[in-house]
Amino acid sequence: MIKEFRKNRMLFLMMVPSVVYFFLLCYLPMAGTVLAFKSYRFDKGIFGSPWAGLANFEFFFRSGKALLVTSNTVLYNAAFIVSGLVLQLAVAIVIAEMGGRFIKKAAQSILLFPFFLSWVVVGAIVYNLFNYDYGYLNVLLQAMGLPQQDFYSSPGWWKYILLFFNNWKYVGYNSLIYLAAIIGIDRSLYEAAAIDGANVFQRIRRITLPLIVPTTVIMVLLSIGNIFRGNFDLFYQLVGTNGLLYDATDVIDTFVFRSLLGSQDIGMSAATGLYQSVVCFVIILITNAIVRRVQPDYSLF
Amino acid sequence: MTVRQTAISLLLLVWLAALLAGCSGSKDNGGASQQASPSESNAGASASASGEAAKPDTSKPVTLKMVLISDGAPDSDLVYGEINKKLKEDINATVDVEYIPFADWQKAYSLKFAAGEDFDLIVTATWGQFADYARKGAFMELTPGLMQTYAPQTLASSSQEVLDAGTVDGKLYALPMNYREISVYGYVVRGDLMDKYGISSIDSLDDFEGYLKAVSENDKELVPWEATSYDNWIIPHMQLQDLRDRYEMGTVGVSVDLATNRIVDATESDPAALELYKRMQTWNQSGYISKNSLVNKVSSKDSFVNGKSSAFLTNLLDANAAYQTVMTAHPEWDVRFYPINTSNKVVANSYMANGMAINAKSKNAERALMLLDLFKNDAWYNQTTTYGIQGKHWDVSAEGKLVLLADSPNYPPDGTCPWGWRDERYYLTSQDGLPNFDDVMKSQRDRVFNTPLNDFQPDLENIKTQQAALSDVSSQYQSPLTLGFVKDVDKAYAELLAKRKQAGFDTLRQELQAQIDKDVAN
Repeated sequence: MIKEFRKNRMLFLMMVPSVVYFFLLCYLPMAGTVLAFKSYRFDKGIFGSPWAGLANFEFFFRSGKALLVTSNTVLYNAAFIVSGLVLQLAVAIVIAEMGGRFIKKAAQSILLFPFFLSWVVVGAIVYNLFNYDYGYLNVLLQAMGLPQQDFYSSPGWWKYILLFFNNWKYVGYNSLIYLAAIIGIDRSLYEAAAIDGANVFQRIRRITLPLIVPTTVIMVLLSIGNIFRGNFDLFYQLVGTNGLLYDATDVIDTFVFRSLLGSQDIGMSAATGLYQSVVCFVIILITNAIVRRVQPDYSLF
Repeated sequence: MTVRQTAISLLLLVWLAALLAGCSGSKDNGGASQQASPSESNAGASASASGEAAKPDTSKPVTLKMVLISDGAPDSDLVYGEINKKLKEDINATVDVEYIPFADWQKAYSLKFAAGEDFDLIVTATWGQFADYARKGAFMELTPGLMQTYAPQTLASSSQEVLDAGTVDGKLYALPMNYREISVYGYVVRGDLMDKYGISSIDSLDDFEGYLKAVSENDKELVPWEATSYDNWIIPHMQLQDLRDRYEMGTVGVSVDLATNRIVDATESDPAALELYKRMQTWNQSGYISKNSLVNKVSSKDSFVNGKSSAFLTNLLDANAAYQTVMTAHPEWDVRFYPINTSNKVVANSYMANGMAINAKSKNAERALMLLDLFKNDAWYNQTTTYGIQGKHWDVSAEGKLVLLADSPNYPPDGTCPWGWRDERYYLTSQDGLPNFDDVMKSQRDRVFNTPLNDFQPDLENIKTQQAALSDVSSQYQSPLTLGFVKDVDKAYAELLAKRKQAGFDTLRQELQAQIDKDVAN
């Protein structure tokens, strides 16, 4: 241990800031989790407040929506992960294979741009595309002599709309990571393959894809770790307070926000936070165990 | 090779830490230690008060911090600069005002207390869960001793009824405004359109329907009614509660029969509810209500003022403001306001509809109370904080009405949250408001009905679970019904009732009824 430390002094030193950061901002606050079991009083603080047992968890499960919103959260996130993975890989590979420097940079910038828009702005764009009275799509439908579509009262559309905008926003940014991995691949492999007569598809299948599997696995593991957390901004800004769509679009985070906005009960929000954390933790342990069993080198720990 | 492996495993360790951290939910500050100083200062204060009615000691200069809910005003610093000059002379203190913006104010407000921030004064109100915060120990108790020593003028000028409104479980936690506020809800419509279609007055939902029908058939470029969140609360609130002599209790979502003090579940037991939902569905399908009303981020009022829609519903004060805005740009619209409740009983708001409280952790509670005493009982302080600097932002007309001067937009009347110390003695009505403003107000005041429930402060601790579940049910199932967005009203109505039952409405109702019975008996 000491030998190890002495040998890699510089590396340990480089790690100190992040260790301190995580200890102060992530490990210390974990003590605050007790709030989930407390009936919070402002004058007594977190540790002095009276215990509440499991009362803070009750509303979530009593609502009868715990199952619905949990499964919505997981299914949406699973769809985001799978579709995101495919699209991001595809974009990264296409950009890497592109010849012209100008086209390459232009394509990358265009794809990256939506990442810098806030969800509030995206929400406004979506509203102006889909609303009934003067939405762009409805104006178009009318002009073509087709009947108008009332998107905001038809839950069926929203799965696709949410999926589309989530990918639209993140594909450019996340593909950068895969692009970096691809650029890191030894060029001589491709040259050798070209000499052997491999065409572009064979090169992608036999060289690029196998070599970026570790990066891919880590990226997927990281996103699976958050599979029980709905992206609040996405769902709240795009759907808003439209009760008609809730069954199709409600995730844990939006549901909790709506239920507790009136009462502002800190204990109850801490309780749902803890619920999400525990399930996330279990999921990450399981996935990591599976990955380790299949290919030990790729697992996170 | 080993170096690289170590590096990678270290990197992974950091990632793992990040993962766990990301998963760790609540981000609070690890429980800053709390000091319970208020009890000491209280004890000291009451001791000195019981000794002799000594003049408070103001030899040490202090700076008070006051938290208000408002988007602020450009001239706020200027106005409070003047206030501070005088405060320094009067009580050797100055005040720093911090505004919590309206957007998401609930979050910021509760964080002020949860984070243990250092401030002295804060606005509170029934609409801001006053009783809840008081019970959770957010506010300092204002003991009779403290009041006698540091707020004698307030004790003299406030009736017992006013002070009772700020009392929770027998203890005074806030000083309510000394102003009987009545929320008068009504239709705001365009007179030019009414004249065009021969509609003489809007006295009922039928008349309003006639107006919307005429507009939707003849003025294709206008949306008849946008019906965003506030409006769509007003319609059922008026039709099912106020016009049937029931009193809807603030944030809890139940109403009480004024004659018997029994909770009436109008949504379930009153056939008028289903009738109303059916009518709204007809309106929706006929295009009287905008198809966007559930999602529109532009308020009905803004849409109306900008000439995009023909009507909206609001309270009298807001209507008055809209009237003044439109008068300058489009006097030809001839904006009119028709109150909905023209003959039934009127329940005035609790005095605690606005009030001021002192932070339980305030270090200068005595001086803060003295400041409130001045703001509440001194005409100059009261009107300057409410309307700005006289002669620059406003003035008084010969008839004693408020005249706004050119600089007024930089400090709009009542715009910076001086509501907590509003007082009937100093509050002015505006000169260029709605022509029927005074008549409407008088008609309402004549019908005020006093109910013991006015100042009832429900204790929600035992029913917060049900309250949270019901708040979600109302958003998902009730709002679409009240705006007619459902295809099969009967089915959606049955579903709403079932979901409410499941969310624990009966428990909530029983608990509240028990609390009401106890309150009325006292």
